[in-house]
Amino acid sequence: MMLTGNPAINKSPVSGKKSIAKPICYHCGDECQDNSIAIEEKPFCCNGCKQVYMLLNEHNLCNYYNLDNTPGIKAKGKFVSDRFAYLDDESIINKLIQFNSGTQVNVVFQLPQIHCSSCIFLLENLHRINEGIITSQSNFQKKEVFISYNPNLITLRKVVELLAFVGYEPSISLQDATVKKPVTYNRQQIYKIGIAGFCFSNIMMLSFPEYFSGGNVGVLGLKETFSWIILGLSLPVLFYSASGFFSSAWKGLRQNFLNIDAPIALAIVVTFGRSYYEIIGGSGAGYLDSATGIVFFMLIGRWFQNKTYDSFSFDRDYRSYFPLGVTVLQNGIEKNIPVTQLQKGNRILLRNEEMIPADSILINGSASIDYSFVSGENAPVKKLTGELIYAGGKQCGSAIVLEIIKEPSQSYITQLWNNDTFLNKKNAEKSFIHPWSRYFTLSLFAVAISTLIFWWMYDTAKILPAVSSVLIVACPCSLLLAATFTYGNMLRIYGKNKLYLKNAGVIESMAKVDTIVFDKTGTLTQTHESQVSYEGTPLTQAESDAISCIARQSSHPLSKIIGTSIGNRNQTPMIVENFKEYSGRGIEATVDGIEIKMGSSEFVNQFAKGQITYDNGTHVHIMRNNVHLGRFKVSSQYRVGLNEVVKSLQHKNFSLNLLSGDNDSEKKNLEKLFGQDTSVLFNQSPQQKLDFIQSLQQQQKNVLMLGDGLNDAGALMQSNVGIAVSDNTARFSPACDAILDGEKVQKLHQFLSYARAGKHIVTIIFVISIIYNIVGLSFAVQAKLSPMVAAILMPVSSITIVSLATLLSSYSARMKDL
Amino acid sequence: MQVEKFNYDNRIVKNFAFATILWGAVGMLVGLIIALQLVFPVLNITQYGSFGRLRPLHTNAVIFAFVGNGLFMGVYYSLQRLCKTRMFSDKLSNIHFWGWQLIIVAAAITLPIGLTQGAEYAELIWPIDLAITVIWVIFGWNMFGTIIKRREKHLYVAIWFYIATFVTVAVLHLVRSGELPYTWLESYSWYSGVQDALVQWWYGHNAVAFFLTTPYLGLMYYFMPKAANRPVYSYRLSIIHFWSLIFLYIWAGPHHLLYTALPNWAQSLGVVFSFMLLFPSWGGMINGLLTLRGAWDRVRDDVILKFMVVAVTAYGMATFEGPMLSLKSVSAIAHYTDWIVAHVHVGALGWNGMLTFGVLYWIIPRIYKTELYSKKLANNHFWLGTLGILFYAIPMYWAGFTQSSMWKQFTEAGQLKYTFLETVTYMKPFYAMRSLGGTLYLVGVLIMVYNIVKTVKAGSLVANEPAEAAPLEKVYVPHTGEHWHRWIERKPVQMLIISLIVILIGGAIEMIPTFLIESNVPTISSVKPYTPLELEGRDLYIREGCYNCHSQMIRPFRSETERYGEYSKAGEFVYDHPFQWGSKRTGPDLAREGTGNLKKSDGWHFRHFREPSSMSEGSIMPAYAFMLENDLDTSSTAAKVRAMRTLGVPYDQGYEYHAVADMLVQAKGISDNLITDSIRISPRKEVIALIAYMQRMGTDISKNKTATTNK
Amino acid sequence: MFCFDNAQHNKISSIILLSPIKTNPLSALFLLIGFSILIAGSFLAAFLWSVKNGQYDDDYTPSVRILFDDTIIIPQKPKKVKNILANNPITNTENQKN
Repeated sequence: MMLTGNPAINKSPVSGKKSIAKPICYHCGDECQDNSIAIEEKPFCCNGCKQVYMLLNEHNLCNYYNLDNTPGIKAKGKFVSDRFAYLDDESIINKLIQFNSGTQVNVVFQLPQIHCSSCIFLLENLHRINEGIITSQSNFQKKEVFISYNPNLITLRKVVELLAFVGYEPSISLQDATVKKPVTYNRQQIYKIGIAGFCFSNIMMLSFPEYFSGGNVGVLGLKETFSWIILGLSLPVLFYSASGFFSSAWKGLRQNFLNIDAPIALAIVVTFGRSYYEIIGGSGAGYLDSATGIVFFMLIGRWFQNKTYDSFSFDRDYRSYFPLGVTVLQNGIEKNIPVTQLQKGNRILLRNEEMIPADSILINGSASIDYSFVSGENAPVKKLTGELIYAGGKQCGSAIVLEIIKEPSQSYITQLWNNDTFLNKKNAEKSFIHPWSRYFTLSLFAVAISTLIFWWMYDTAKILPAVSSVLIVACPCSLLLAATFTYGNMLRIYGKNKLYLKNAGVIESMAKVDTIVFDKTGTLTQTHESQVSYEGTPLTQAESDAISCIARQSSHPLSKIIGTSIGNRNQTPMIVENFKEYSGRGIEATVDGIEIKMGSSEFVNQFAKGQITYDNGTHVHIMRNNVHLGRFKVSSQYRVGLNEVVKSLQHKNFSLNLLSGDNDSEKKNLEKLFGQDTSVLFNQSPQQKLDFIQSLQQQQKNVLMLGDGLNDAGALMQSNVGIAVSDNTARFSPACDAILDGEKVQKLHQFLSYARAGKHIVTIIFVISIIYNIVGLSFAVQAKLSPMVAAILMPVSSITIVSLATLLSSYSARMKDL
Repeated sequence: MQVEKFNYDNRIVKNFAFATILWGAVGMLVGLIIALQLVFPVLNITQYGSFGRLRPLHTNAVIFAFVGNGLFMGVYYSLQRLCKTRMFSDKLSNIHFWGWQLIIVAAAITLPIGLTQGAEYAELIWPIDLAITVIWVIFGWNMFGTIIKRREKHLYVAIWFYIATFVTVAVLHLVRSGELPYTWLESYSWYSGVQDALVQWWYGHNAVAFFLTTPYLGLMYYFMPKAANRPVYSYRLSIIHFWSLIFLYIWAGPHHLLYTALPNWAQSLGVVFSFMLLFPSWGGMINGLLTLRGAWDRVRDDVILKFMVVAVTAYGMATFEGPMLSLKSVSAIAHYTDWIVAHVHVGALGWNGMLTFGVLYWIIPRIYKTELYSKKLANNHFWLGTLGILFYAIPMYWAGFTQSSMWKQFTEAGQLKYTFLETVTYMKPFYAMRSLGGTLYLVGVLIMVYNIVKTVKAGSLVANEPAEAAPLEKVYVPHTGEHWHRWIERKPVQMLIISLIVILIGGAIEMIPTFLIESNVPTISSVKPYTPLELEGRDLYIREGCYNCHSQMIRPFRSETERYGEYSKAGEFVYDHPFQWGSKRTGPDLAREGTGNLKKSDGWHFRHFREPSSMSEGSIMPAYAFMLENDLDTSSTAAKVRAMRTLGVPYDQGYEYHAVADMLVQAKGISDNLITDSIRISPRKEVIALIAYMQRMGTDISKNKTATTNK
Repeated sequence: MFCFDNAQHNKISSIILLSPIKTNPLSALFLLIGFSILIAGSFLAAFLWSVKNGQYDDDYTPSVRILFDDTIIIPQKPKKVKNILANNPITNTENQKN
């Protein structure tokens, strides 16, 4: 299947000649095992492709194959016909269609599979295949097709099935909230630029006599007529094209806040006014060519600015780096893949407390979904098999199996994460630039007035060019943009390194961090390679299966290790009832009648009343019907590269401390690792961790907390920067400020120094823009800078500032090999 | 709202295609003849076959007949497919076709017999001008009708090019047809001297721009993607290219008048805008060529693509050379030389010719539902055509450089190194090679004719090609504030077209005369109107098309003032209706023929007109012996004087009644001179009037030295 | 020989409104510039109409759309795969079985 951005380069159509290598399918270009499936010696890889070929052949649409080479999409074999059943009910149809006039219904589908001219050809000839369809027009860039069909001849479901059959299954999303309307370019802007450009070029042409003949055109009457025509041509520019500047300046003034458009509006009024005075008074030819030039170049500058912002815009679609992982069931075997590679139609296993990555349909298991993350109310909602479950909910209870019906969209989850229920005040977006911009405009006016007075005394002719260029050349927008663009680019780079920050404010607070608090389990220790040994009464096969099945329900690192290490893998999933998890301490459930409790020693002690002796090392105790069977000893492995991290952090004189909810069995190797001066505390309850951080903060310390986000959510929330480490689990605690993938923990000190570098970059750029303004103003004040050149300089400066910010941040990232 | 069935009209396309081929062959044959006449003057057979009269026939035939029919064929084929509808009305299409062919035939008759207006590419007499206006309006009416009842909402960029062509050529033609008829067949241009020059070249350049380039860009944007079966390289670039081209093209006229008597700032205006023209034109060329990126191997074996690639490359070269030529320093070298002829023919043979052939080879097999008769022959035509262009352009470039440098060469002693005649005889080999190139190109065209005829015989015309498309429903675009839009949509198209025409004609008729009548106050007091005999002589000069080889504009260069005398001032030409500055110096400049060491005796002129090579050895000027036999037709002299007076030339009231008598007096004076030179001729002969005009050339300025010459 | 007396020529001067234009030799320029602005203005209007009419909403697909010809090809030879798809529920509406 050829996936190219712009239409595929079409070589002469391959006529399915037999090459010694496996023949390639005439429809979709995949390898075919043999050429058993073929028509007129054209080989096909599967029956699906052959059927599509026959359909096209029958309606003589074979041009499809000679526009592009093997343009087809691999037909996914027979598709379940009830798959689009939900398209039959009226409410959904009304939600999807645009217009319905009884005999004609218009609908627009998003078709991500459009990739070449043949697709456009096929999608625009659907009316040949089924006469129910009246007309269809595709839009290649937006990858959508507009279809109008006759509802009496064909239903919406049949239309969608036809599209799916020829390989272009539309991606229908029921929550229209997330489908943001693609922004169509703003036509007003184009009108303004068009008119400004037309008038500017004609005025320049008509001022040629003025330029070349030094005033005495030698032809009576010509000069005056031209001046009046020029005046006429300049009116639309002043009243229409430049209206944008006037309205925004006026809006700013109304809230007595002088924004950047105020000086520009003033400059335009001054230049136009003076020119009209001269032309009407007959005392000169006016400056209308540079006046309209200013407006034209400012509009073009704004246009390019918006273009550059869009290309740099980090539309927060961190799809490729969102470190959430999910276990996918591929015909029974569990496989762990990042959320981003989830495909429509995959079956996933979701454990307790894991988040539903995308809209899906429940296949089996009793689901009770906690939508607190999405809607705020946290009563779990019961769901039956076959029902639709929206992304964002959290499963509480035993593991369930879901089938994804819509591409996961991370930007939706990020939206939820940033909405105000979780936004704590400490790193809300505040940048130190803001107060500057208000003073900037005031100082600019001061400079303008002083230039006016100065030239008033010396040479009144210079007043106009000097004042107008002063007002235009100054450009505070680079001050405001420096921060947003640098941090925006840094967010993208952090994301690429699997550190996924909530928003740009986190970087600023990361730069100020001076003390770091580590959590042990799950953060410093690696979960998947640790060894598990069992001490106690030997477990029967049924018991170990039950234990492994229950362990796999919870996403706690220890229970996951136990779940995967004992019991055979691919036995049929057993029925798990009244599953309950006490977060961070233990779980209990009954499987096939065997009632099992497992957890830490204190948890099991409540039931076993004193049978447990004190144990060193991390242990998980097992109880069956309140009889203690034994315990699993999990010797956890420390993450690779941990001591380099610790050494470099200490070298950069960060003060380190360690809090662990675990017993102090690991005390001596931790001290060996951290050296003497770091305080190591054990058996810390979440509340104790929180108090410890508060005490640090009272000593005016900026605290960075690194934890696994399970039982120390409160501590993460309290610390200046809370980073949750996740080992591709779907656990996702909104309390943290950033999520870090397990393997990238050893890059911690690079992240911190990069954050500091970011701060430096912003200050550098801020200084540069200040220098630009000073130099620009100095030239403008001496009236050496013509207003038109100023009008060109201003957009150029903000574009250079923006690209400088992005380049510097990417460059320093490369230096820190992030 | 069901899918509608309708038919495309291919018959009109076939008609225009055949007309293109016919007039192409005829036009190029005339071109070959006049090329050979420059090599062998003996080929100027009879007064109807002289170079002066055939060259305008060649230019009008190739531009309006060959390229005209070619663009109409392309427009009628592509407009229907792009709008997914049949032409607005078959009646209008037929009137347009037969009307245009009638105009061509009329031109083919009037030009050889000497009925011309003396303005390059606008030689046709005023009744034909009116016919052109009417037929052009019918074409526009038909086109806009088709566009308004289209079934495809989006106007493909090619349609915008067709619209631009129609609107602009309409206005150009109206402004250039500003002429005052004084008999049923003849007229004088309203404008005079400098103004006529400005209007002529504003029209001349924009006729090239909007008749030879814009519609053909439209054809390229439709037929090239169709031939290559691939979308154009960047559709967005083509939109930007169109709008920038349209805004800029219209100002570029004055670059034809660099270093002439046109005021300096007007010349610079032309230079700046012609240079800015380079970018939109090259935008088009790049867009065309890059459409084939990645498919160059297909160009190797598809002759239609080969034609189109050469066409677009030639367009690129010609539109690069144009802006360079419009720089004052380059124009100082190239103006009036054969370099200009080379530039024109790279554009015409390369861009217009090859693209028309490509489109013909693409369309004919389709509308005849058959394969092209022989691909090999088409390939031969391609190679002959390409070689023809090379053999045409290279000798002319070479000739242009040599001519210009020989004119400007000075000996150490400060004398002109070469007499003008030496430069002319030196050009013989280049003119010979040029006619070889022309022959190759013509042979290629004849091969095409054979190939097309065989193809047509093999197939059968699908006069009405069935097609189906859904009508354009106004259903899903409910805009508020559509009031104006709906009002225009509802109004019938006729009202729109008529109102446009009325405004233009009304404006033109009442605006122009008021400007021009009183405005020609002579800036040079010594310049006087022509005497009736000189006026008749000047009309003979125009009739014989002497401006095709001779210029009447001395540029302010030392090499020219040394050779021809004082450089020409704007004031000298105020009474010249039409201006005869000319644009090519195959023969010497005649602006000061009557003054200084250039002045020759009446007898010299008499013998020279009878047999040019007798007075100047090796001259390639045709012989005008017939002017010694033909009597001067003085029937319309009175009407001419009256017409001139209405155009502002200060003849006294009632002078026209005794103009003929005065003429006889002056003629007798000349014939008496000739007797002293032992030449016996009656004063009524045409040659006398021509000699009178020759002797008057440029004499006004030196009449009283004290004349105030302020330019 | 023939002398012309310049004095009489303005006897027949018509009343001209734009008097400044009257007395300069380049008044044709007004005409040219007048018409050029007229044409350029009409193209500006056409430009504004085209943007308003939404001609440039989709600036890629039209370039591909011209490649498809919508002429109906009357299939000469009978298609042997005619009714294989007859029983397929998707394509033909009349024999819909669900």
